[in-house]
Amino acid sequence: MNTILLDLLAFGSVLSGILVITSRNPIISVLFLISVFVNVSCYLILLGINFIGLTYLIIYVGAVAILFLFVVMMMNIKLVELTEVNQKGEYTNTLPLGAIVGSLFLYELAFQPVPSSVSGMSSTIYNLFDEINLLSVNTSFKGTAFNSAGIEAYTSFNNLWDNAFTSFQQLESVGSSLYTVHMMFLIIASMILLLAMIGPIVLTHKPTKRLH
Amino acid sequence: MNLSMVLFLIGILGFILNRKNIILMLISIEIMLLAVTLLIILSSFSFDDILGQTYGIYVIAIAGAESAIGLGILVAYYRLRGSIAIKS
Repeated sequence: MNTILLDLLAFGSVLSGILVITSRNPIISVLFLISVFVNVSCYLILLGINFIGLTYLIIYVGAVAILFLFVVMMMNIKLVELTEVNQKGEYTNTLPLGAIVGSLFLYELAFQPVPSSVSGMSSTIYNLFDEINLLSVNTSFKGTAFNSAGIEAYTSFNNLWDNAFTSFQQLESVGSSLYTVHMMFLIIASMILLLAMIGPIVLTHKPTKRLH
Repeated sequence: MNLSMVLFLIGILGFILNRKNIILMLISIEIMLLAVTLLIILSSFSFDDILGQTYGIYVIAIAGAESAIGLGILVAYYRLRGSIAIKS
């Protein structure tokens, strides 16, 4: 039952995505974009990733798609200007590039040169990463008395890190890693959001002429 | 993995094949960002790791900032030119 629903949602999102890029009217394509986001967020919620699914609903459907809809309706473009675009041979110019990129992606999907799951990956890659981690710990503590203590700290830190999350809910663990360890990235993201608030104001602000 | 790859393919084909409609190009960028975030989140979920969701939140925030700045540039361009055709 659950897998049928997941397949249905995936199919719906792919179908809506195809309808986004093929429809002539930009308002219709923005509405299908909302349909893609709703399908994907339902997919994530059904898988058990609740917080990100709800965030998709709030941010994409509530903010980004409505912003697109406002801009499309505000600019009041004549529909003729948009529909005559694809009929003058411009479409066939870009078709070979699209075919090349599409065939590359289909090769990736069909033959899977990169393993897509843990079970398909050989264990030597894990061991390689572990060796690299131990090597970096060893070299950073080299020459000091912490040479064996470095390895001890590395492994015990990892164990503590794993144990701290086992009793958490999903949202608690997201918040715990967001506000403690990755605090700097949160500050950088807030700077980027401030830039995104000031930038469109500066861009679209029309200064009034003053007479001296 | 297949769902996000197909969504990314749809986004990149929409970006390539519609060269003159700039709103559709921005929408295709949104679809590509959605596909990449979905791939990160699903991979981290299958690894039973929480850092992927943290990273997904950052990608969502930066995608919102990107779409706001892109639409601001689009509105300013429309005021200057009077139309949004890329090649005239």
